[in-house]
Amino acid sequence: LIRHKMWKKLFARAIFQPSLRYCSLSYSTVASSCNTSVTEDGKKLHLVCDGERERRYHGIWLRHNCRCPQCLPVYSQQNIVHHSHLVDLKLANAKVEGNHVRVDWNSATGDHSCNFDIEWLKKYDYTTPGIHEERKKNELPLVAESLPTMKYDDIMSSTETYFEWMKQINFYGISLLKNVPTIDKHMIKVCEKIAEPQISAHQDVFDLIAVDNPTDIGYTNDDLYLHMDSNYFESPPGIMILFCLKFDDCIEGGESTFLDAYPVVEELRRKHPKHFEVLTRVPYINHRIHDSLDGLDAVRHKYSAPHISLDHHNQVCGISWSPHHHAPLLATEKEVEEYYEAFLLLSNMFDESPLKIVHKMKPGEAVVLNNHRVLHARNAFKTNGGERHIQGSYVNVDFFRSKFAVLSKQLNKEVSIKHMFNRSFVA
Amino acid sequence: LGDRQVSGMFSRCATFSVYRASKSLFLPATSILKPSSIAVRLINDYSTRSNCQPLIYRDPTKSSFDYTEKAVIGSGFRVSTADDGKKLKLICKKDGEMRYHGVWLRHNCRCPECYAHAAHNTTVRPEHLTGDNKILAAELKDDIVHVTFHNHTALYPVDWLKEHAYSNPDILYRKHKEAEPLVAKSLPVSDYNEVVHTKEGQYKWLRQLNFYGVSLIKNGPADRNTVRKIADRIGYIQESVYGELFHVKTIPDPDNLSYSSNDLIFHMDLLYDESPGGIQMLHCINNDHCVEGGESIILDAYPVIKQLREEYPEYFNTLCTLPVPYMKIDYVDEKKYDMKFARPHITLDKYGEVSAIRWNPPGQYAISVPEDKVEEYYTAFIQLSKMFAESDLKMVHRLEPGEMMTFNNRRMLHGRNSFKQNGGLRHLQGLYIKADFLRSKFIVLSNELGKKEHTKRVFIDNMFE
Repeated sequence: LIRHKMWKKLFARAIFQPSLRYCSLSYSTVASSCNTSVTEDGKKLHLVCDGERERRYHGIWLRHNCRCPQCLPVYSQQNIVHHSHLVDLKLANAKVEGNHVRVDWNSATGDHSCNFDIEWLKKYDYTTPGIHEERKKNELPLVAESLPTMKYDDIMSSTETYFEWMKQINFYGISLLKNVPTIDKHMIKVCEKIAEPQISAHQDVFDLIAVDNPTDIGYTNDDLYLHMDSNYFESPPGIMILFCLKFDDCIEGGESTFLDAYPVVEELRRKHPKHFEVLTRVPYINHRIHDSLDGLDAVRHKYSAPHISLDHHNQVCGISWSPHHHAPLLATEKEVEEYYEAFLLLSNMFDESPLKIVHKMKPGEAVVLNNHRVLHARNAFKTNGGERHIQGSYVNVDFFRSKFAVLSKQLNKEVSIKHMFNRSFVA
Repeated sequence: LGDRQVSGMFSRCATFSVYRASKSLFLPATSILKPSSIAVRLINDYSTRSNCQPLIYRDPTKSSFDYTEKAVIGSGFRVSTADDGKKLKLICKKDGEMRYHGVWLRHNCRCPECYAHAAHNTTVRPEHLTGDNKILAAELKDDIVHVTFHNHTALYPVDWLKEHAYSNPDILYRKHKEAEPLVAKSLPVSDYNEVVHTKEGQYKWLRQLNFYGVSLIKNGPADRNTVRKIADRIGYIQESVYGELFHVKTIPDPDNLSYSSNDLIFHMDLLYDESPGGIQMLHCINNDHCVEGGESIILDAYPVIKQLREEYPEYFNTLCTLPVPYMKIDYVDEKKYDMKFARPHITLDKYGEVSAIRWNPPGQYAISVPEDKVEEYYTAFIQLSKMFAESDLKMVHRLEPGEMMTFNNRRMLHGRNSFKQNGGLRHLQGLYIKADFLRSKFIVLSNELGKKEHTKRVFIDNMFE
């Protein structure tokens, strides 16, 4: 088994170009002519490439991110530079050699050297004015004007179309997939295109049909106003897949509504900055409480977070909206007043947003949406003897991001991954 | 009345004292139980001397309208409207005055129309709250507070209202303080059979995990999948890039240094995830006698970070603000990954307490911060690294076959010494469970067993516990 693994790795190495494997190794493009120097008594390295602005890198940052196999083992790519190497550190020398810069340091623990690929240095540049803002801008998602659509057969047969579909989900937060075979739990195949289904209390696939003694209002014929699922977890389900198995013609009502919360939240920031600020500061509590029922363990989940989470650039990095699961607000009297004003305002903005997409699902359609960003709702319905059967499943948001990133690299697509609203400070 | 045997545990004591009072006043006891004006005065006088604890212990798992025992009047509460109908006032001698906004009350109405008790969902929609939330009248009847709005009469059990009081910030802060974690002086230990087969044992283990962040389960079998049996005692398994169950043993060309015989510096796992692996379980299947070294080391990051805050507040502040990227990049193996997540090392909650910790130097990638912040970052990073490495609080233990180290991967740092196999085998099997379950299961069991202990913070980045 071990030998087999070794051969598999060797084989893989032969197939994949090194540049796809590691971020750090050679990006084989011809580097423009560059010059380098050490300044501030060994504190910083200056890199000037033809026609480009000067870039600077701290010696300590370089040492910490040394790319040599001693510091960054080849297979695990884990940073094993001990913090003791960063003490009393100075840059001794730096020299451009072809595509890379050879850097030498002295420190309390001794001397060390490394070759830094120039393209890698440019990719991780942190001193060019406006570079951080530019990167942030590239992460901003796009807003769909209408429901993006794809066909099931196309994504299953063509890698290009599969990539476009993943791009729709990342950029717009939602995608409608048509012509999925109406076989029970067939949407698992859709999940598997992204990653393994995320196991939740609903197991891997849950059925949205009315039951007696529902543990959740989803399992009724009632209407559900705009919300996200399961905000009582630190990491709510990421990508949600709603697959319509059956939707008889005699059914009255039951239309689904989808709304991209991100542009509405940004509109709130522009038009009512004070209310926006309140919703980033006063947390609300989301709870899920039920006793043991039908094989489900009793739970007492409670999570408090603000409706809107901001990162260090004041960019929205997380949205939480689950009014059905609100627990009584615990805040000071002044905060309670502020909160309700802002909460009701945003709620109203969601209800009246022109960006709402109302769609009556047909059997064979699957809606894939980012549960951290897109709100969903459904109208109440009367079965009139018919059947409305929707199946749902979730995929972990981190696995989705990973799959999309891997796919774009493998297909050599130059694409900036948009933010998934998973509260990360970078996309 | 002079009877000082009133205590929180003795739920009927107030009734008893009233009965004794009635005897001394030569009034039949039964007349006290009817709300006659004399009795009301008596009860109110009594309430001025007692605390306003509810007379009947309420099982928090039950809907507030389930229990049929009605408290005797004289629970010591009074209600009135305030601020021209904007607020409700609930007055209790011990806790003083508690105020509730009309809109808050309307939103949280506990009547069966507004609150689906089985599913614990509110059916009050945001649009119901945009109208007039003026309180027209308020009344306390049989321990239920009736609040009249223009289009609805809302109902709340009086204890429930008291429990959810928010107008006194000290009470809110006190509740938050109750969730302050405890620091273990030595490695807490549990017994496998007790954990798996008894509720008390399960509770004891969960309590150790919740309060101290770690528990070593001893006397278990050294079988594969035993770790699943322990997982069942808390929640469902959280899948990671390493699958549902992972194996820690040496392999050639490891995609993670844990699969080598190197030492591992203090770290947390899976920080490139939105919700990193919560409870980690490491079950020792093999650790042959000839294997030298390989001791597991666990360190509670929380007190060390507290110490950093006290001794170097500027460094603490830096580590709370500058984001650090964690990545998992693997394009070689069959399953390829490109995961990235960035947050500061330390996240603070609403009260400025530590609510999340991210510390994984081997998984950390090149920081991308403004030029003038780089040195500041490294000074703080080096200081905290040193404090972790030199901390006296670390617990070292060589896992024997059958033993299982369970710990909160969001709070405890783990590492290990390097080892020499000498022809033997060192094999651990592990899994993760979301840390959200550490608090949920603990609360469920605590209620079930009548322990009434509050959960501590489990570092899942929530704004308050």
